[in-house]
Amino acid sequence: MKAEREPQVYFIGDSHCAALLAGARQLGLRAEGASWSGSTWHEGRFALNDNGITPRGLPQAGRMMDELRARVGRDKVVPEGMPVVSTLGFHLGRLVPPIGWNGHEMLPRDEGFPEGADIVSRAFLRDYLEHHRRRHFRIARRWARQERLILVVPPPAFERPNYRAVREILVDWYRDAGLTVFDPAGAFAAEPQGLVPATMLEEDGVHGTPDYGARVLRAMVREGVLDLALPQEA
Amino acid sequence: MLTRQGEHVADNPYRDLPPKAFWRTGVAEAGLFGMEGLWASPWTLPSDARFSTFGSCFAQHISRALVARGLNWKEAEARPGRTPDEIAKKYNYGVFTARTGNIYTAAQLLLWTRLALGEAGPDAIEIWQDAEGRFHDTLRPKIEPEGFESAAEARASLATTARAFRRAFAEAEVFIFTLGLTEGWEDAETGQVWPLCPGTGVGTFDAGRHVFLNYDYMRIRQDLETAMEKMRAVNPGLRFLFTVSPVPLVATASGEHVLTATMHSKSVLRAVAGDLAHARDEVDYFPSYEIIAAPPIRAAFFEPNLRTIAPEGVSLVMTHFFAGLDISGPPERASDGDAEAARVKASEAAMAAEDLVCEEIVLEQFNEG
Repeated sequence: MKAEREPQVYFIGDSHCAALLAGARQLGLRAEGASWSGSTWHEGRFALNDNGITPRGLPQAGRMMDELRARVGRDKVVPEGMPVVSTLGFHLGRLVPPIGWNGHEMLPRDEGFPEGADIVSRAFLRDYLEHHRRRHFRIARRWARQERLILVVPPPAFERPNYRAVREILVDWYRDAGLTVFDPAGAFAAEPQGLVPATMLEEDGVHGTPDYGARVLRAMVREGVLDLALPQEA
Repeated sequence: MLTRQGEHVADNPYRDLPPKAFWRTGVAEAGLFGMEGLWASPWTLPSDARFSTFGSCFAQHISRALVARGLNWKEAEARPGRTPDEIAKKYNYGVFTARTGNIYTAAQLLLWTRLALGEAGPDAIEIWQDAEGRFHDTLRPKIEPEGFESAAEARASLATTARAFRRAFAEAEVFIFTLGLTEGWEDAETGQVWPLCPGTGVGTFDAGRHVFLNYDYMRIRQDLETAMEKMRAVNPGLRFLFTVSPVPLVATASGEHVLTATMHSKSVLRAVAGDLAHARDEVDYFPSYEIIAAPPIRAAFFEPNLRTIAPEGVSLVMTHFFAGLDISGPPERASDGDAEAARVKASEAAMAAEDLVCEEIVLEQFNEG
């Protein structure tokens, strides 16, 4: 059934997008979206065509997108000029663990190198990430030309150095390519260890709750990344 | 000849020697591919024996051949999981047991041993900055294709490799080392050994500081023995298999013709390796040098530049290696591969569990209750 009023913002990405969508709705925003497993995003099982981003070879995710199209009443889900929030290219739960399989440990650039830890060079890490994210970067750039794309980094839910090192490189990469990236770490900088409080995390300790999503959305609006007036604050 | 008791005894020590002991039957009639018994390992190794490999560039062939045969090649500094081959190759993972780059001289081997044991720290190695602002580890000048982004990164990487080098001798049964050169360069101020002359790739040559050395028999033997003793202090059961690279010198700084310098260099290395093998039970010598460079081979395996070894030559060397290797002993442990596989499997299981949670969270978006 078609939505009665046009959504103000769309969310299409992996499971972290679901929390953002739920948070947007909690804030009273008209929001629409679809999300499917990060492992399939990691594997590059998506495509970009004239109608926007779409899953590839994933029947269940395909049905979600069909239902989303039905709800908005058109094939091209995101109208011109409307913001679409995504987590495309991160999917860290699949990307990062293998880096540490042989004991390698990295930190963000400003923090140097972990004492006594086995490292790889940053040049190696960049090449490694480029190999695993080449398709994601290419499609993100195309997507950003086609729609008003805002990429959101996964929640800073735990302290694992390799995750932070990889996040930094991916964020720099996207920003250097001129894409809009919002890192929720800033919104939680004042929290203990700069991490999302446990009360805003699902039981897995990785994914944010709708409250987390709402807090991130508020921060995005406050920082002008998302130029929407929140109903409560309008 | 028969004794009074009817026993057969040789009337001279050569009478009962096998065909391989005679030039005609061992070499001339056997031909290039017919020679047998060139090497027989004195050790019966466990079938899961771990081999660490280092040395000059020819040593790379031994690493590859061990892997290809499914033997337990010790990879002490493995590439991160899911690194594609082209990136691993670009950054020199999987070439030697640790990312040392080529170790040409015994002095270099001793330096790596000291680094591994903490007798020298990464600060002992000069980090050189190029005109583009990149930093290079002068002990591993080619290890990163474009150098490191900071001196701190170069030292952290060097420390990583030093730890891996320690594992290479602490966690192996056989340490295979291919001796490459007698000629080398040292920093007169710091005593650091350089694998390449400063200024030829990395570093800035300073005639007042960088000293050419043509290491002699005594120094090479002393450095090898010191390195071995230090390694065996950590791993008393460690065995050493020395080979000499048949690859000639690219150039000599000795003042001699490069041909005579090459023959001198290889002869000294061959003598040291052979003498150590005769003197010590834990040392053996494998004749890769002779298989490629001996006169009866007629330089058949050298490429037209008379330096590069053709793949057929490498293949013949490795055929003799595996023919003489004895790994018929019972296995002594679950292989490193099993432990690694278990670790990877656990990580993959954790990722799969996270996927399941992802799916549940994705499905929750349809819950309007």
